[in-house]
Amino acid sequence: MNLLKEFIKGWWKENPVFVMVLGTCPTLAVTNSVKNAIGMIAAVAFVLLGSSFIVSLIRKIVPNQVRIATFIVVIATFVTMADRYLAAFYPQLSKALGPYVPLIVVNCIILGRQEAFASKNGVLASVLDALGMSIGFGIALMLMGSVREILGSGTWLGMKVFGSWYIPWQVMILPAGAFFVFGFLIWGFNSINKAFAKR
Amino acid sequence: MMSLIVSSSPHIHHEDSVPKIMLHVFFSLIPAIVASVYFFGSRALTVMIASIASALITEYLFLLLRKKDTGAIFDGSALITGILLALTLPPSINLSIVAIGAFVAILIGKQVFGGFGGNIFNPALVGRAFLQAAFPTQMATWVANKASHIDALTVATPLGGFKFSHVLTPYKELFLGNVSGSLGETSALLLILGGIYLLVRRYIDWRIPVGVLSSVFVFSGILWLVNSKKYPDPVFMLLAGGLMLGAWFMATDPVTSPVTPIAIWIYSIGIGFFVVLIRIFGGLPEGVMYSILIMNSFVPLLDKYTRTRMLGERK
Amino acid sequence: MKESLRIVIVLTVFSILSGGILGWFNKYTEKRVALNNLTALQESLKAVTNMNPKIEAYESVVKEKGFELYKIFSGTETVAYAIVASGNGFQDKIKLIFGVKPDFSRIIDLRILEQKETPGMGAKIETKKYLEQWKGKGADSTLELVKKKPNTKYQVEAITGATVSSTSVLNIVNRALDRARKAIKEAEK
Repeated sequence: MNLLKEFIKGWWKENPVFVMVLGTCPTLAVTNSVKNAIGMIAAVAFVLLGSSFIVSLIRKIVPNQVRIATFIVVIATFVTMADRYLAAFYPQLSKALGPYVPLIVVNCIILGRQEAFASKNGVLASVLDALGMSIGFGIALMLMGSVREILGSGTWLGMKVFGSWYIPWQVMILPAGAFFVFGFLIWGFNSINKAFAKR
Repeated sequence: MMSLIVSSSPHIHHEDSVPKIMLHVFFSLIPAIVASVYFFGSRALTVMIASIASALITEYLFLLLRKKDTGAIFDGSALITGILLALTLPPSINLSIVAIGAFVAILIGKQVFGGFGGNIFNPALVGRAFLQAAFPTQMATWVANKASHIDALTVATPLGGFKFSHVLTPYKELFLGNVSGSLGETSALLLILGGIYLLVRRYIDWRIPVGVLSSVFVFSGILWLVNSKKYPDPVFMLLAGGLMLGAWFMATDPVTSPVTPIAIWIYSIGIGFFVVLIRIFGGLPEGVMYSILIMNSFVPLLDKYTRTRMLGERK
Repeated sequence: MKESLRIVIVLTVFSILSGGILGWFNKYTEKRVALNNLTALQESLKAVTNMNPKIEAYESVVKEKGFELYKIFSGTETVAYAIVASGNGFQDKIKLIFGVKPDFSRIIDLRILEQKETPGMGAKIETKKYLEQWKGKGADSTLELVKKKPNTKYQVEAITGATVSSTSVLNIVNRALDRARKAIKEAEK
């Protein structure tokens, strides 16, 4: 039962992006299309699962003074693997995501989960926590990507959503649009959470 | 108004309420509105109605959502925002774009800051800036003015014509309004008339239009003296584009302009400086909107550092 | 003493493990990455020189920062040159490739490889409508930008509302042509 809670919490109640406001760099930078968002979600999920698994395995042998350094080595290994893998097998996606894949190494969601959870909990709980957080991150990026792609290009994952009458809001695929959508989604998340908290 | 501008208490009671001020602002805009209908036909009216309707509906919905008194939509501020936004738009613009602009103007420009009086930026300009970023092509498509007898579907505005083709539009045309441009920026004469009305009625501070216009004149005059072939002359700079509309009606918005005289001078000269900078060295032909928005963001800071200190108060 | 020894051991072990894994992984992917880059280059060389279905042979003549010149052969005969060039656009670097007739009489075709211009404005340099007009432009003299339908083969029409990006592309091409003509003269000597 407790494990289920660890798994579910990241989806909404402790959503890493909209509630904890972590990992905003990829959230703002690569969500101009759903396709890019999916690529980023996959890369982050891979890194997060891998490092949570390893970190919770080794948590007892790592001295406290160098835990951050060790975690970073683990994370950086996974990030580099993800980056090379994309470059080898998905060159177009790798080009579109640009420096934001290597930058996952400084994504606060990942180091945050190691420090706050994986280094203190068992393997199963840590993996479930990582999976839940990845899903939460995925929900956030899909929301951002969908809103921005639909409004900014009139398409969703490349498929036409509106007829030819629709005039795309170019600002939505520019950085400024990311901030607008981000602000409105945080507003939405918090209002809904508040409404639930009152009950 | 002279020395009656007060920022901190005690406030001097003024008999004018917000609706009354807005009514006079509306009166002062009548020449510009009539001119836009004269130059661009009933299309101008449609654009204005769409803008006003969207502004009022948005205001109503968000007052409702924020559980505020919905009667506030009748204070006229949303109406003026709607009109001002419409005046900055190209006549041929798609009406759904107009509605989006007014929606953003009220929502992001005003309601998110807590409604009338709390906003940092001029709402109408926030709406326009959003449209400029969202629909750059539609916002740069200008139709010919009815009175100019040009037989073309799309034309360049006087500023665009100068920036990209180095063509100077004659002063008379600019002054009377036989030029292409947004609904309310065609005739410098009618805009000045409306502005003077506000000035005489003392609803705006004379320093703002004087500061903006003279600094544009001086800064562009310096450049013109340096190289009269490359840079436009200062009179052209004053009459062309949205400068008159911006200087008299947008920069003077009491909510988003400073209160102390020194701050007002810095604010208005700053606007003029940025206008010249953007128009001459920037990538866009017109920069009045961005200049006012930039200086709007300095207003709280300017007021803070130029506020008159009470006797004996320490820094 | 014991504690610090543990620190050293743990950090060393993890660094070695990480290095080992990445070394192996890089070996596994690097061939693929190199192949990707090569196919991408060959594809664009093919596209801009009208060589169908494939290029028989090509050699790199010059390769420096922001400028690459390739010679395309059919048998022993030079059938075209392809130039990869980059320069500053409105927001970021623009990188493009274009093919030229062996006598530099005209441009065969032009493609944009990388650009980060404003979507809907400058990014129109990637549209077919804009790129199409580069076919057949003169490559033996400096090209100029015009705002109307071009009259001569030395004029290129700008994109409405994206003068800066259009100028950037034109400047990159002009500079690259200049550089290429010089490079070929040197090679012939």
